[in-house]
Amino acid sequence: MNNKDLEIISHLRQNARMPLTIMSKKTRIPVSTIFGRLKTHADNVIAKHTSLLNFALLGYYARANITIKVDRDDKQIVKEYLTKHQAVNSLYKINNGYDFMIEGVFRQVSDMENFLDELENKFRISDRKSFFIIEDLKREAFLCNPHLAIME
Amino acid sequence: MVKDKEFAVLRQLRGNSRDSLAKISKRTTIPVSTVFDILKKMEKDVITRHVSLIDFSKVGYGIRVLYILRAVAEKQMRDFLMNTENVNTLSFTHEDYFCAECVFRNMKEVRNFKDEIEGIGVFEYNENIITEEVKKEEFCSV
Repeated sequence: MNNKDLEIISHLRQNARMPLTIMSKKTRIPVSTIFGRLKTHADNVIAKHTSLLNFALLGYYARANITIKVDRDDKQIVKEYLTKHQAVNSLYKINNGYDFMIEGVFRQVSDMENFLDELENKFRISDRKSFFIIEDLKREAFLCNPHLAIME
Repeated sequence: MVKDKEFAVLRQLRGNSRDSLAKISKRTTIPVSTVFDILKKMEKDVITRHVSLIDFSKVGYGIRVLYILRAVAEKQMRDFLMNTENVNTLSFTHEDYFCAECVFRNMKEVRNFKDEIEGIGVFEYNENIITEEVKKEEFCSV
């Protein structure tokens, strides 16, 4: 991966729907080269192109980061459950006292409480902490500025 | 309120925001012109940005850390976290916690970041290495 690849990726991080013709003008890389590089990086560097949403405008007013500690024997099954659960926007395995970090999206706080109750009824959750998100300050900001996309 | 057709288009974009309007139209059976109108409408408010999610380890940033912290000087911490490139995602939560998902090249960068945070001052500090990203931005997605 070279600086041109990083520049292309940065543009996509800024706007994943950017047409290749516009990207070519901004980067001075031929469209055919950009197309080829994108094909190379798809399924490798690029995990997915998506659209970030204002969940509140969709009627989902309660968002929270929830860390949970799970009984060792339940870890795999909890992972499978949370992977399929509609309210889980993002899910990470973490260390240092907790096992999973869940970013949950709910219509209201009571829905989140029901989600957590269900989790505790189905599995052995030894500890949990919830952090209600009041404000998104940054989302997917890393490597978003093509001018800074330079490898050292 | 978002209508069913708008949700249908949003789901497709959440699945792949680079999909052409023609593809989205075919999958949803909504006319292309309507898909176009919905996209333009949604981009004004509901859609904050179209972004490509990347595997950070493939661009040299193999260490990902989740910080949950409460700062002594909230404004100073906010400014630091907002201006630090290593911070990929940052949210402010109830009871004045910052949740920061960060990416680093090596443990030296992790250490330097921790030193900066401790320099500003924290009441509570929790550092979790992300060992696996199981799912990301899957809500309302195909």
